[in-house]
Amino acid sequence: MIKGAVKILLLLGLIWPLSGQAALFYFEDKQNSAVVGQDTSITLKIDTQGQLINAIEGDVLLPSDLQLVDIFDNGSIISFWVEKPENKNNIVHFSGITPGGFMGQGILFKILVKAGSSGSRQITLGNLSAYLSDGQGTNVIVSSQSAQMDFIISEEAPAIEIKINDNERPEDFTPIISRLDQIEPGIYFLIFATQDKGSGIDYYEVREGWYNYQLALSPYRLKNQELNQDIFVKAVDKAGNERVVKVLALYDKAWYENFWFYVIMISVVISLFLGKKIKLLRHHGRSTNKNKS
Amino acid sequence: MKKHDLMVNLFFLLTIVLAIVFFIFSKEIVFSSDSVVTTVQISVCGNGVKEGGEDCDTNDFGGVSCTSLGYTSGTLTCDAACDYVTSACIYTAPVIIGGGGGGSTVLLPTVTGVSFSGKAYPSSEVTVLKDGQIISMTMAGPDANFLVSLSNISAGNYIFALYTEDSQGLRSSLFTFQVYVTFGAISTVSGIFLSPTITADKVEVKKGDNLAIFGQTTPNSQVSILVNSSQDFFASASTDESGAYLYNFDTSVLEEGDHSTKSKVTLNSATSNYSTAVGFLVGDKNVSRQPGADCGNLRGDINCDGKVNLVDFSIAAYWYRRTNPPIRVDINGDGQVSLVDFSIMAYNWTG
Repeated sequence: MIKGAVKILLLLGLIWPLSGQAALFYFEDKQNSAVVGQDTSITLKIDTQGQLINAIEGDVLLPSDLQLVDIFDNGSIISFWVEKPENKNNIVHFSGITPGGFMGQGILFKILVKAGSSGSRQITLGNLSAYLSDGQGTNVIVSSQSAQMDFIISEEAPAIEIKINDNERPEDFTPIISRLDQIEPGIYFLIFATQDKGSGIDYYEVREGWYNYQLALSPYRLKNQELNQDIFVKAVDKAGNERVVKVLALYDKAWYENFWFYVIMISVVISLFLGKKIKLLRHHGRSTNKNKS
Repeated sequence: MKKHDLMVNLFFLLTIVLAIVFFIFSKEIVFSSDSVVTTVQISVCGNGVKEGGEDCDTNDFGGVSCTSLGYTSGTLTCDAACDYVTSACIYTAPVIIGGGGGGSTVLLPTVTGVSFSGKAYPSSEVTVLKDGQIISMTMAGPDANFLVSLSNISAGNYIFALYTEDSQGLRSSLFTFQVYVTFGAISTVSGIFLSPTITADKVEVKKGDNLAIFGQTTPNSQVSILVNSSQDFFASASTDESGAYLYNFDTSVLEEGDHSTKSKVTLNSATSNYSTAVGFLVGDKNVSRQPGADCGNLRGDINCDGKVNLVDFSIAAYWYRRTNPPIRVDINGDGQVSLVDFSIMAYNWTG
C-alpha cells in the first residue's frame, strides 16, 4: 500500500509538467472557530502547483487582540529555517529552504492562538515569496488567493483540546566544528541542526567542558578555542524530550589541565595530613596513658 | 583506634583509585541521567576498528547485521567511507501464519524505516539526504542498480533527496521527494532514476566549432540532450557499458552569446529527470573548461570544502540582510545575501 502510494508520488513528480502556475500559500481551514480563552491551532500550507520550489518567505499577520501561544514546525516541508517563524508584534515572519526543492502540497508550520474576546477576526498573509529550484533563484508568482482566514470567536462554540502527544526524543544529529573565516577569521564555531517529527525543536543548549548548559543558536562561537574539552549539544523539543550529543575534544588536554589530576593531588595531601594527625593523636593518647599510670 | 585508622586509609585509597580511573577515562564519562547521549568523535576510516562517526570499519560492524537493521537475512558489508552497504541484505514482507477458522497471526516488522531502490551509474556512490542532511551512502552495482535502507527513524513526514557522483566527480541533480514514514513499517520507494551527469569541454566555443557534451548515466541507454537557445535544439546519444556518453554538437546553428545544455536518460521506457544545466558561451574563440580548478565551480560552497551543506548555510544565514557580505557569500553577486542566494545554495546542496 505504502509502496504503491510512493510510486504514484514519484511518477507524478516525473511527469508533472512545469505549469507556470502561481504557488499558493493557504490556511488549511478557510474558516476557523474558537472559544474565548482557549487555544486554537491554525495550519499554514503551501501548494506549489506543479513547480519545484526550494525557498519561501512571508508573514502571517494576526489581529492585535489575538494572542499567539506557540509555533510548531514539526512535519514542515522546510528543512532549514533562515528565519524560524517567530512572533514580533503579532507578525509571524518566516523564511526557509528545502534542499533539492519541493513539489506538491505540504505544511509550513502551525500556530497556536488564543482569543481574548468574542467576535470575528481575520488572519492574513503578506510579503509572500517563493523561489524555483532552478539554480538561479527565479522568483515564482505567488497567488494571493486564500491568503486570509476568517476566525470566528465565540463564548459557546465547542472547543477542541490541543494536546502535544510526543514521547520521542529529537532525531540524532552530528554537530560540526568548523572555522568560519567568513564570519570571524580564525575562530571555531559549532554548527548543529536536527528535527523532531512529534512536536518540533524548541531550543538548543550547549555545554563546554565543566561550564553549565546555556541556550545556543547555530552557528555557536566556541568559548574554548583550544578544542581540548568535550562539548555537549542538547536539543529539546516542544514536549520537553531531550537528546544530547557529545562531541569529543579534538585535542588532548595538558595533564595539569585535567580536573581529576587535582582530585588525586588533593586526596593524597588530605590523606597524608590526616594520617599524620592520627599518628599524633595516637602518640598523644599513649603519652596520656603513661602519665596516668 | 586502629579500626578507625584502617577505615580512613581505605576511604582515601578508594578516593585515589576512583580519581585515577576518572583521570584515565574522563573522556568517556557523561553525567546525564534523563537524556540519550550520542557521542561524536573524530575517527580514522580504514583502520579496521569501528569508531564514533563510522557505521563500520572493514570487518568491524560493532555487532550490527542485516537482521538488526530490520532486514530478514543477508550479508552486511562496509564501504570505503565506513558506511554500511545493505545491497546484499534481504527484506521479506510480513507473512501471515495460520488462517482458516482459527484466526491468524501477523508478524509485523518491529522497525520503522524506509528503503530506496533504483538506478544510478555503474559502481557509483549514492548519497541519501534526510531533511537536507546526509544519512547514508551506498555503492550502486555494476549494473547501476542500488538499494539502501534506513531503519530506526521516527515516524513522520520527511523530505528525502538522493544524488550520485560519476567517475569524473560530477554530481547528478538531486532527486527529491516527500515520504510519510509509518510507525512499525518499512516504506519502500522504488523506481528511482537518477539524472545523468553532464559537462562540456569548453566554457567558450568559437561559433561553428564542435562542442563536446558528455557525462555518465546507466549503461546501454539513450540520452536526450537539450541545448537551450532562442530555439531549443535536441540531440541524442547512446551510452556504453560504463554508462558514458558523448555528443559533438555543431555550434553553427547557435547565436553568439550565453547558452546552456542539459540531458536526461531513457531506459526500458523509464525516463529520468533532467540533469543540472551546464553553461557555455558561443563567441569568437575556444576556451577549455577546467574541471574542479577551484571551488568556484560549485555555487553555494562558501567555505570551499567541496560540499554545500549546513556549514555554508550557517555562514550565509549569518550574513543574511547584513551589509557588505564577503564575495563568496553573496552567491549571485547582487551586493546582498537574500533568499535568492539561499535558493541557489539549496539547488546545489550536497549535504
